[in-house]
Amino acid sequence: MLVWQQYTTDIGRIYPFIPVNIRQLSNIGRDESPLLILPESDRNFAFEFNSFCPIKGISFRKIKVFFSDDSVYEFNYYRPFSLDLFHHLSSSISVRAFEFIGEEIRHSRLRRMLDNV
Amino acid sequence: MPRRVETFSFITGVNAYITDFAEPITISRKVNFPPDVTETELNNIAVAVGATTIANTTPCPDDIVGASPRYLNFIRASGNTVSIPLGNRTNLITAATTIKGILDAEAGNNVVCIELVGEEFRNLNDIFGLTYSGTIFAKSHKAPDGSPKQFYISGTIAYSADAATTPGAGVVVPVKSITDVDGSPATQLGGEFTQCAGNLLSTISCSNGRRRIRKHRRYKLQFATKVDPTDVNEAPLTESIEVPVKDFTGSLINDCGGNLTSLDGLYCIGYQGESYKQIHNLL
Repeated sequence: MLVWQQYTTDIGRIYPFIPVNIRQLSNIGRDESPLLILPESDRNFAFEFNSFCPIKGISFRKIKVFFSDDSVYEFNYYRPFSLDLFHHLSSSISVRAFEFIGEEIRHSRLRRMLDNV
Repeated sequence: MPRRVETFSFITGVNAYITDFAEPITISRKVNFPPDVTETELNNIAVAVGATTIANTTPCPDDIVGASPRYLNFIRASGNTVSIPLGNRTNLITAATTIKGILDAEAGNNVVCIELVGEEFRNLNDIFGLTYSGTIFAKSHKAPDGSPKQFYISGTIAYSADAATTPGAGVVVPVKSITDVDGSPATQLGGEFTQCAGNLLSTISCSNGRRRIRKHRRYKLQFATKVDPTDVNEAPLTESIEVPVKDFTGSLINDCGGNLTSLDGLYCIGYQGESYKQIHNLL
């Protein structure tokens, strides 16, 4: 399966091998992976691995992309959003619009996470 | 009459569930009761296992960290099973005795056997502060090149049991672990296998045929591995391995887990508590 090598929460806790979750939200699909719109340095952080570490209590941050071919995809993203990412996506001619969707951490996960930040 | 479903809650600061590694947590579970169990009996069962039966939701449950509590399974003559979460393993025998007495009240449908199913935590990374960079790898526990078969280390260990008339009483249990070195624990575990499980004994455990009556508590580890951990071109794999934990005391179970997290390539640590199929013989 495709995993992010690490996922960094907004407050800095790092979790290894989080599955890359790509959802197609439109009837129209794309032949190529929607991850290709990310900078190469980001794409290199996703690789094939034969397992992952299950983690509950976090809804990972996501990027929702409206492509110019009318397809819409949503996928999780491994590090906090940045202005650089915003500019990169804004400059892509294959992207019509995009949304940054923030992560959500439940209390039980958060109180354990804080000791390890 | 239909079966009845009741929520058993354990709430930190009130009546916490105490994990094997002595952490008080908040957790709740739905319990299915057969129709013959009355309201009073149900409440008495809750008291016996340290739970409350308050309605509505349990605040901030720790179920979110992948926790599954330990259970006592009461198997009745009819073949039905009543599964009750148990808040504290030191209370095991008392709780089992009380609940059996309650369920036996209906003539002809007595409890014929009682099993303990150990608690499970799928991911304790935050508890132990485990981090993993993704760039350091453990040595694979596959047999070295040229070896015709996979190696295992097996034998018995001196073990302090949850399921015993006196909690923590010593028994001998069999263990078996995959390894890359014939006759020794896997290289990826360093000296931690022996730290957690103790030395293998020369004693042979009691034979129960192929039936495993007691399954020891253990940590479940996932490593990112390579046959040659220094080879930058070799694709990493994941390997799972279990480490038995001989100690009963919560702080020692905790220490074992904490020491394991320093191992190279470890990226995920979980835990499974002891299971035992013959609690009824201890009452």
